[in-house]
Amino acid sequence: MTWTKPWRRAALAAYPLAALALLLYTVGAPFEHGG
Amino acid sequence: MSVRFFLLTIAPPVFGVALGYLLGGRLAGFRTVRVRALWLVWLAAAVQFAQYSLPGVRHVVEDMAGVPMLALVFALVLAWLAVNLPRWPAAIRVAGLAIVLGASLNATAIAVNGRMPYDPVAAAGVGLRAGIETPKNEPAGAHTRLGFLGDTVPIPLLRKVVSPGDIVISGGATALVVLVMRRRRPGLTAEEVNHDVDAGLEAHHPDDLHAGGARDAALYGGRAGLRGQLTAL
Repeated sequence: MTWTKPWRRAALAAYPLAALALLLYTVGAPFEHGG
Repeated sequence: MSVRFFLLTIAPPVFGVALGYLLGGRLAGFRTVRVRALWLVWLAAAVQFAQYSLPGVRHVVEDMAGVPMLALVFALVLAWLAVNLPRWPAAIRVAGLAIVLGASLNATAIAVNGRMPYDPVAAAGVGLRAGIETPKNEPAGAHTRLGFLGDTVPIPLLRKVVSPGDIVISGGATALVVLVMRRRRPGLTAEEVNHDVDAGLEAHHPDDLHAGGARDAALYGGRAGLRGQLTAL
């Protein structure tokens, strides 16, 4: 295993994880304003 | 988007990754599930951003074209899930369906009220100014329908009030990450999948000859026609 492997895996996983966060941003509806 | 809202959106995936590691999963599991048409999610996020932050665009789309931007956002996300869910493995599909269910609960509350109603008492309880309206939220009142689907659950740590749908979506997102991380590539054992790809293939087919490559040029054929054949010893 080369030293770059964990970072490559993390980068590959980061994209779908970011998509999931985007998904929560779009269909989540928390009330947060007015503080 | 505020920092706290950002934290709220990344919390389920981050929590899912931590839980996935604790349960023996690895980020490499994400290579086993193909995600299609991700542009739909980006587009939905762009519409959501425009709705909140670009009042000019909101005016044109909602007031002039008569298209509710929230309906557009939910339609795009549900379309993305419809494209992907049938192709995902069964367990991951269940987690995806939980996200659909949560989104549908939120969409229902928004559809019957125009905006997502929030409980003013719960909002005041976490230090938010109750009574204001936003493009997505309005205070619940006597006119509110299906108020229990609205933002009624206070999260003091993040100073937010969330809905049952938000909780279901977050749970589904966390479960989805855990389940994907725990997936193994077909034919590999739990130990092999954590190792180098070449090492995993060798372990899986111990009788096969190793494919030629730069590292093995002295022993194995590097040309395409000789790949996988032992050419010198």
